[in-house]
Amino acid sequence: MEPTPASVLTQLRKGTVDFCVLACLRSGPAYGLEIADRLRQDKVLFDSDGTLYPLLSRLRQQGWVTTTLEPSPVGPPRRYYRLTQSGEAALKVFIETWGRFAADVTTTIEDHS
Amino acid sequence: MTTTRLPDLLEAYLADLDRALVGTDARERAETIQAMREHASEVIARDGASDATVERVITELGSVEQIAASATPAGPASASVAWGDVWLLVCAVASLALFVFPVVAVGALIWAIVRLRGSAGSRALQRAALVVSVVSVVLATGLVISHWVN
Repeated sequence: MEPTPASVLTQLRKGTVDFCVLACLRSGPAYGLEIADRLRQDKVLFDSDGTLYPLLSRLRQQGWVTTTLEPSPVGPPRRYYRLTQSGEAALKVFIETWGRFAADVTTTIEDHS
Repeated sequence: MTTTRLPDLLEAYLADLDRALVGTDARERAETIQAMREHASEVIARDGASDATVERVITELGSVEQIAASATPAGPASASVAWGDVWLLVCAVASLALFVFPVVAVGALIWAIVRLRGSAGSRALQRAALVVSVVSVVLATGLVISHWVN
């Protein structure tokens, strides 16, 4: 089957988008729509806002984020997602590994172009 | 947990999504629906409940098939026995049998609350342990009061 930009993106997202969400929370806790707004700035990370929520649930079940409900000034309470220590540790490992991986990919592509 | 009634189109969208998520991890399914309800409520509280806003929210959330495809299929891992919660329930039942020792009942109650507030394990076992340990605490308290009165 011929790869398409969409199919390549689907493969690249696996195992990377989770850590992008964790990275998004490094600057502080955020509620769902806030995270979606931050990640929407770069459309290639997510197909749609809705796919963020199964992922957030998985991160919570892994213990990499915790959630708390807090009052909102504009509407119903907001569910804030907060990075845990193990989430931070997982992100650190990913960042170290990703740096080497991305550099190798770039070098390999440039060397053979 | 918020259960704000959303405009009919959004309620229908969430119902479609819930059906599309059949066969995925049960807790992930419930949390996804709840979180998306909160997402939609937040946008509507901020931008109003006009038809245009509702349609924009649905477009941004994406197709239910796309979301369901990104969810974790229900598998053996989610069906596996949560041994921590089995022991919690055993402890709660023991506290009922040993209600003359209120410390055991209070300990089981605190443990059940901590497990329920967490994100792991079997909710059914945790709830059962909570109920049993509450009964134990009530019995133990009644016993203490009756001794005190007499």
